Amino acid sequence: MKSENNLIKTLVSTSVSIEEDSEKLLRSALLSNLQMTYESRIESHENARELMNDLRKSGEKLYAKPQSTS
Amino acid sequence: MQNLKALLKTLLEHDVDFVLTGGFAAVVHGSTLVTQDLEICAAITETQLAKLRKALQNLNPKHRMNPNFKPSFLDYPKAMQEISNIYLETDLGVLDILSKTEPAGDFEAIKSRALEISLYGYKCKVISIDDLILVKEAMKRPKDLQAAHELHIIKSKLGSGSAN
Repeated sequence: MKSENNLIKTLVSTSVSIEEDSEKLLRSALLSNLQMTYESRIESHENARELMNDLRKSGEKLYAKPQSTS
Repeated sequence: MQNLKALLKTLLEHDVDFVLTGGFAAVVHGSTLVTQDLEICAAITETQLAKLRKALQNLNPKHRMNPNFKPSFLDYPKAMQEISNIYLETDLGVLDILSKTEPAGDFEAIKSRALEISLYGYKCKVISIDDLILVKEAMKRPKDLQAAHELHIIKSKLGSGSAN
């Protein structure tokens, strides 16, 4: 029971930490964006969008059903 | 080849009277989120339709509301009708033209509070951060709420103003 409690404590603690870390990372990314010019923000967004779309296409190819050879 | 930056530049080059809204406006304000379309708020008048058609004439603009019937925006609507919103797909990406963005209001209301920035040598109006937060929170989808969360942080970092 005690070890189960410890385990839960660790899980809760880890979860909170991840949330906090994620929020800190988000704030850091936003601050970094705010230091950029408007045009650089758009450029950075377009690069990210292109990368996301490329990854999506690669994923689709990876999981596509193999073509029948008959 | 999708290129929302080029699509935005095309609208600016052709003097379309619009306010940039949606996810792309959030990006301009500093959001980290990625959007796949360009959304603008504009008064849908004969003059604006003519300007939009001229701007998009080489980009194969088609209405995308009905997947089985996608007429060209260059041909339809023929005459001015009561139109609230136009949803297009173009060679450079998706373009949504909205006459109002609730709860922020119609084009004139949004324009009156918009931020005017210099972009690629043109003046570009961007929905104010306060209006964008209102709109994003009203939509309630997870991605919109995430955008609203980011915009709140941006606003707090900037005080009452926005962007650079």
